[in-house]
Amino acid sequence: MTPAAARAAHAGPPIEPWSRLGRQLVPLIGEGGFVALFTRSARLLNPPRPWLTVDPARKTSAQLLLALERDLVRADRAQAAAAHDELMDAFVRQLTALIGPALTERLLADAGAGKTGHKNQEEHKE
Amino acid sequence: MSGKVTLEKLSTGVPGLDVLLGGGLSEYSFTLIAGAPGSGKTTLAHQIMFSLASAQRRALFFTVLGEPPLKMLRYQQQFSFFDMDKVGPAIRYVNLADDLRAGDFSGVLERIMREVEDFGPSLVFVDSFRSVVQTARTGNEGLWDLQHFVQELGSRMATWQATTFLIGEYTQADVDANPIITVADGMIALSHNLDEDAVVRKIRIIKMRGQAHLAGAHTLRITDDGIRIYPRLLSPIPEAYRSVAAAPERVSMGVDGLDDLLHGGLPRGHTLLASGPTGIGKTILGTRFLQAGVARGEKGVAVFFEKHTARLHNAELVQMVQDGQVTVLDSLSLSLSVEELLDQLTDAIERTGATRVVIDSLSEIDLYLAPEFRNDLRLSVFRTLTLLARRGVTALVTVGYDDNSPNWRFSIDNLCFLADAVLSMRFAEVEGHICKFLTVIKVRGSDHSNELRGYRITDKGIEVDPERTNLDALMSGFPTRRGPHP
Repeated sequence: MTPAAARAAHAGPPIEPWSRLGRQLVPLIGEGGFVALFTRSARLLNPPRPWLTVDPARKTSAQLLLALERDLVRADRAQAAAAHDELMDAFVRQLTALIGPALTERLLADAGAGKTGHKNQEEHKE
Repeated sequence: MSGKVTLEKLSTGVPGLDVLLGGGLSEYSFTLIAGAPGSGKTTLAHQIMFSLASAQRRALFFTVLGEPPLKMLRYQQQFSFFDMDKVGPAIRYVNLADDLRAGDFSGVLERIMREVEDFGPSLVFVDSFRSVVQTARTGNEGLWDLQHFVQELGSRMATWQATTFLIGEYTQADVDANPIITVADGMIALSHNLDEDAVVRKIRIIKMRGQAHLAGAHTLRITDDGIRIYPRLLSPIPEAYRSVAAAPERVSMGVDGLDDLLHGGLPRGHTLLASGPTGIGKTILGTRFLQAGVARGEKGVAVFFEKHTARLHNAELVQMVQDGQVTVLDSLSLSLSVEELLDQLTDAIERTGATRVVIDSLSEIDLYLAPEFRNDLRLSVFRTLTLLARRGVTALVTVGYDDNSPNWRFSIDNLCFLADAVLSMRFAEVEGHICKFLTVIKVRGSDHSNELRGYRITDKGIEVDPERTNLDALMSGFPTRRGPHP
């Protein structure tokens, strides 16, 4: 089953927010920066989601997001939705920890992703 | 009308830099910002960018293989000039690392042009350009291609009418050897020089086409507000001080007998150097001088270079400080630059409106100064006293030395020539006692007494005899009494 067919059958969470995030951030921090943040965020998920594959061979945002989409459509719908949201939160939290809530919010505003920067930053400090 | 093109100058927003550049940065120029890692290149570039960038004058900042962009943003936003609101509409960051990894300069150039055409910037920054050079040296397309790349970049950016900056980790040796430098219109070199464990940051304008710039190395500091440059220039004399008053206002020194010797006090705005050996009462005189000002509602600033606890035992000074009438400056740094000292002084004078300053003492200041400034103490003191004079404050500066009687000296390192007035204080042995004497050596532009008077330090402060001493040849070390014993 192709990802598109699986998505149609399974209706997993859309990864368009991730694509927008990639389009916004990759020009700024490079493919390497985006991949490093994403991989780190995936490893921080609690509880861990072993079905979310982390492969060091993936060097570009396109490769990452393709794999993410594949993993999400294969998972249980509720689990996939929860993992997707937690992954996005973790990603924004990592970015916020590095460059602060104000700049994170400003950078993500155009991407229309992650409005939870402040909250996550506070959580991160605790 | 000459018909010559006018080079518009952009104010960089970096305090002191426009002075070095000869009025600002030429619009559409192509400038290399060079220096060793940690010398402040990226900070300088950011400060210029945030000062100049606006919705009408957008800036593109390309990062290459130098400082990772996330770290750069993490640290640069700590500076006060980093205006978050400009990121996005006025300033865009673009990372070129992936383009450069492909090893294709023409690809990098095309990517830069795509971004330029998309964002329409008036300012373009490429950081760190050294990465591009290193990539060329390790192979891919060679130095010729790199030169071609730089020339193309410079040419296209000028045609685009963008003022462009290349930021690179170059040393002076690289600069001398690298023909790429010739492409740049201007070159700003930053360095941090280690001397006896003290680091002093410097900036040089190595070249700046089409404008007369200020040559030489100038000190810079990096603070929370970013970079501040101190051109090796004296500040101009304020208009208010250009006219010479026929009868200058006199300022009380807080010691009656001394005011008598000065014929009513020290002319306002003068610097008096009080010199003498340890224990002669210089610090007490400083306290009295400040107290006299406080009694008239004047604020004071005291700069101490003695060991830190000494002034805590000076109850009268502590009281003035607690009452907010006197501000004390004392440095914790043992690598102090004159510029830091002048900054602190300027800030304290402006903040408090102080009209009196005491510096106690110049003989200990070298313990605090970085070697470069210590080795030229006279210049350091000259700059400090010049600042005070041009601020119009009246100052008492002390200097100590070993009393090598009967040799009579007025200061160390010929510092007495820098002061407007000199007060000599010294000991002399008289009939089994070590007694104190003082005399005014000079007061510029003013008459003064030439009497030598005895004085004592009592609970009331400094009590100067009302008449000149009746001892002759005191300074020779062999005094003889002229009249009856008092």
